[in-house]
Formats: sequence, C-alpha cells, structure tokens
Amino acid sequence: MTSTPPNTPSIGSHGHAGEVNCTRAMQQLWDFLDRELTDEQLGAVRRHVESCSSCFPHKAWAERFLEALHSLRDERLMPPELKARVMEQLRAAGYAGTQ
Amino acid sequence: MTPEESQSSATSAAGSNQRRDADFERVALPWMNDVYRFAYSLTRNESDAQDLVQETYLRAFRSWHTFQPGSDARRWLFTICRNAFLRSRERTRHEVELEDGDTEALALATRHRDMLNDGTDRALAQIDLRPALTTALEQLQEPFRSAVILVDVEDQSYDAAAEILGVPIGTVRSRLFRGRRQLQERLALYAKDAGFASAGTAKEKQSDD
Repeated sequence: MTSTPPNTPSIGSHGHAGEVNCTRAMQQLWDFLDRELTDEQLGAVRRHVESCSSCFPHKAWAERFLEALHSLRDERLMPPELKARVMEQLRAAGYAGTQ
Repeated sequence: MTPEESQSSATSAAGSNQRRDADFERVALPWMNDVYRFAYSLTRNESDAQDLVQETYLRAFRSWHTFQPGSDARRWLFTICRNAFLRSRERTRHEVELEDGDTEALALATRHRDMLNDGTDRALAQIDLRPALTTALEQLQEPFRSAVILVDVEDQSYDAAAEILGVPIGTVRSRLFRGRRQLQERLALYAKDAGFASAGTAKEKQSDD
C-alpha cells in the first residue's frame, strides 16, 4: 500500500477506495461543481451525490443557484459612450488601430 | 546610421507599432464589457466604474509588451483593473481571514438542510432568483464580492481569481464559499419577504453576517 495523501477522500460507507461519505461530498460540493477537482475526485463526488438522497437536493439547489448567478453576466452591459471615451484616451496615448 | 538604415528602422518601428495596435485591438479590446462588469463590481458606482475601465485600458495599452501572446487576456485585464482599483483607493484593510473552505462549504449544506426543513426551499423553487441575486450581489461586501464575480459571473478558475486578487487559492476558495453562503442567506430572506414561505413552519433565523 502506498501512503495516503492528506486530501484523499475518506472511505465511504460501502468501503470502496475512492468513495466519499456525505461529509466529504458536501465539503467538496463547490469544488465539484466548479470542476476544481481531479477526475478521480470528481467521479467520487458525482457517484456519491447522484445516489445519496440526502446530498442530492443540496447539489440540485447549488446548481440552480450557480446557474442563476452566472446568468447575471448578461445583465450589466457597459454604457455605450464608454467605448468612445476609452478609444479617445488610447489614441491620445499613441494607439492608431482601426477601431 | 546611414539615411537608408535610419529610414528602414523608422519603417520597422512604424510596422511594429501597427502590429501592436492590431494585436491590442484583436486581443484586448473585445473584453471591455467584461472589464466594465468587474470594474462595476469593485466600485459599485457607474461613474467610478467607467473611470476604472479607462484607467485599465490605458495601463493595458502602455504595458502591452508585458502581455504573453496566447495567454488569457481577460485574466490579464482583470488583474490590471484590480490593481488600478486598489491604488485608486489606497485603503487600509483589516480583513479577518476566514476559516477554511471545507468548513465554509459544510456550513452551507447545513444551512440548506434548514431551508429544506423550514419551507424556504419550496419558496425558493417558486421564484426567479435573478432579480434577488442582482440586489444581493450589490450588497455583498468585499472581499467576498470580487471572488464571487470573478468565479461565478466571469467564469474564472480559482487559480486565475487568485492571481487577479493577489491572494492564495485557499483564500479565494474560502471567500468564494462565504460569499455564496451570504448570497443564499439573502435569497432565503427574499423568499420569505415575498411571502412564499409558510409562516407557520418558517423558523425565524438571524443571518450571521
């Protein structure tokens, strides 16, 4: 057996290596949704939350929350006159592009 | 330098300026809306945000030679924007650094369990989250807001956000999770105010921020 790195998910209730329990799944839920885990860790969290009736609603809510948050991207568009102001300033600094 | 050499060097300087301007136009200018959104999230004021965008692009243009061709221009611009903002404020920060991200993430799941139990979750299922989130995001305090804007709205990785904000990844992670939790607290309050939560079962719970 190799030694266990500190961040290795704990062994889940089914006892297979690479599984996570509820606590670990919830600690890693955001990392999971943000794709900030290794493939192996992503797989372990996915298997847990897809099959755990306690964790699944948390995942569903977190996904909806993040989707709504991301959709705010369309909301704040810059005022139309700003681009002209920026371009004017850039030209004064030596920019001579076509825009 | 012979006149021919001088002529050719002037031509090549003009040529390199032309290339610089064309590159800048193609790589940096298309992100102005994104920079504006990030600038607004920092200043929370339209006029200050506009000034900050101008300052960012001016700095970006002047230091264009430091940009690594092929690297992420948005990340580079956000970093400049953030630095320009900090310099314009010169504010002293006494931020209490947070508990680690794992604890924060777990607290969120616990909080959501309460929301499932007290009916807030059902209320939230019935409302459009966007208007509530827009308001909640405007009210969210720094340093949480920049972390949420960068990662959740602007799609930056933890790593990119860490570079832009000049803090370790673990700090981005804990700020992000704390920010998300505060947003969810505000959503819960909004759902209750909107009258969707059943008053009978809803436990009055103070938000801890």
